[in-house]
Amino acid sequence: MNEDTCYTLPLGPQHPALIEPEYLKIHLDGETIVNVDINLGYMHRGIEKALQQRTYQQDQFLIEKICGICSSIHTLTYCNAIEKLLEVDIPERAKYIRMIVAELERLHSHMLWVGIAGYEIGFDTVFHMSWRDRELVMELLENISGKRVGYSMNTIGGVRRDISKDMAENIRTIMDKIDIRLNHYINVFVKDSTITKRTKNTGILTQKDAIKYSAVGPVARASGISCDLRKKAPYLLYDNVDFKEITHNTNDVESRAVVRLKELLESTKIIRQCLHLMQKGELTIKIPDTVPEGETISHGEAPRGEIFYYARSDGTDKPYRIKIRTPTLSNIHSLQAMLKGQQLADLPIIVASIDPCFSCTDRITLLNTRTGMSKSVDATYLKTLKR
Amino acid sequence: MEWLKTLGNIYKTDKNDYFINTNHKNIPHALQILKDNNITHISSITGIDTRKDIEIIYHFSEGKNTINLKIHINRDTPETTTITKEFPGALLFEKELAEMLGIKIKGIKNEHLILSDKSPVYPLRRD
Repeated sequence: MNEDTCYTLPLGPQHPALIEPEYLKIHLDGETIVNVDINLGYMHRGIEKALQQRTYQQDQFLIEKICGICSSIHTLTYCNAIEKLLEVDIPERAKYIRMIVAELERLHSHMLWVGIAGYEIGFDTVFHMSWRDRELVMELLENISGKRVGYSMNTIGGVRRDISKDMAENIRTIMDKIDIRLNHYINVFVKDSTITKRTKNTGILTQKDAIKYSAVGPVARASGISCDLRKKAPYLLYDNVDFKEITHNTNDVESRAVVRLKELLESTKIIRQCLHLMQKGELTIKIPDTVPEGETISHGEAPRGEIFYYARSDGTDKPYRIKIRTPTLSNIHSLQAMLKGQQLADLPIIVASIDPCFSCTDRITLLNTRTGMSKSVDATYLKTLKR
Repeated sequence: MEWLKTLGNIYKTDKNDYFINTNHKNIPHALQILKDNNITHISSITGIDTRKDIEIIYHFSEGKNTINLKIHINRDTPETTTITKEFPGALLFEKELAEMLGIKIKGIKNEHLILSDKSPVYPLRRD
């Protein structure tokens, strides 16, 4: 390593436009990344502590605020955990509605990611197009739940709102449109040279490293690991529907894009089957305010990977402990393996490829570790690196 | 899953969730058995202040099953050893555990990941 060209580049932590700021300290040799230090916690809100001070019913609404994008899978996993402690089985129709909303959430989350990926490689057309198509899903969610984010659909014992016949017909029509668009994006991500030149052989995470760092979700599946909990440990009624688990084995950014896009085609398949299979029936069952003493595990497949809940009850109306592990905490560790030896200009797309709610770009200082001299750079400078 | 019995006292909370009570001295041996049985994925680590002691649960996944190793450590001088040698993916979980409950984890750097470096409190302690 040449001392004259060695730098430490602090990336982050705050950006007003994005949620979940994180701080990466990048060690560089010239333009090549040597190592990465990760620092989190800038958005730590003490939710696990706050959950202990509220009732199980109140906690549902707090848990929904953990993530604006995947609020449904959080409440779904939480409700599953509490229902396990209560030893109750919710109505079948409620299970199908939970699955439909969870898959719609996956659709809008991954389509958001497709846009971000396009933006990070300087291909803003993809960003605008995919976010336009994502609006179709957002409107559906608004139609079903009354809200674009934080749907409040899941409740302990079932779901709050029904899906009417008209809504179901509307969902089917939109799914047909979405399928056409998804096939178009798969084509674009696999064939368009503007994109493949930036995504092929970039941010390699070998299967060995993915296992070593316990990666989850599309990041692990793009390294050839079969880990979809909807298949491996089916919850709700995922074992009643027919879908494929998507894996890919080129281990790079392109692989992660292909996995996400192809699994959306499976999501639309799941939604159609749920609409077909669900029968008329109750939406909720009555549940008590207090939960019997006990402990349990609940995990589900969020858009970004395995989401994990541990719940312990001491027999009161408030939980003794709720532990939440979100997929980004598992995946961010693998960034170290993905970034080593890569060019600085590829950093934004590699970081984005794990789909964190991550902020970067414009508050960066370049620090020469040998001389101690520092230089601030802005978003424009980074954009020149990106293109 | 017969081999699980060699890890300690076993009980189930659901048809696929296995909990095993063991002690912290047995952890290296237990981790080796897990590795020998192709358990490679750690899902999370939970720390609980029970007011009498501190409970640590290591959550592993194996197919549709979860395997949860549970140990109890002293509340006044909470200390344990890192498992990152066997499961490198546990590093961030261990750092979170250390900060939230004030547990000293031998073998990892004592740098804060989530809380401020100067934070004097351990938020999940029930003091």
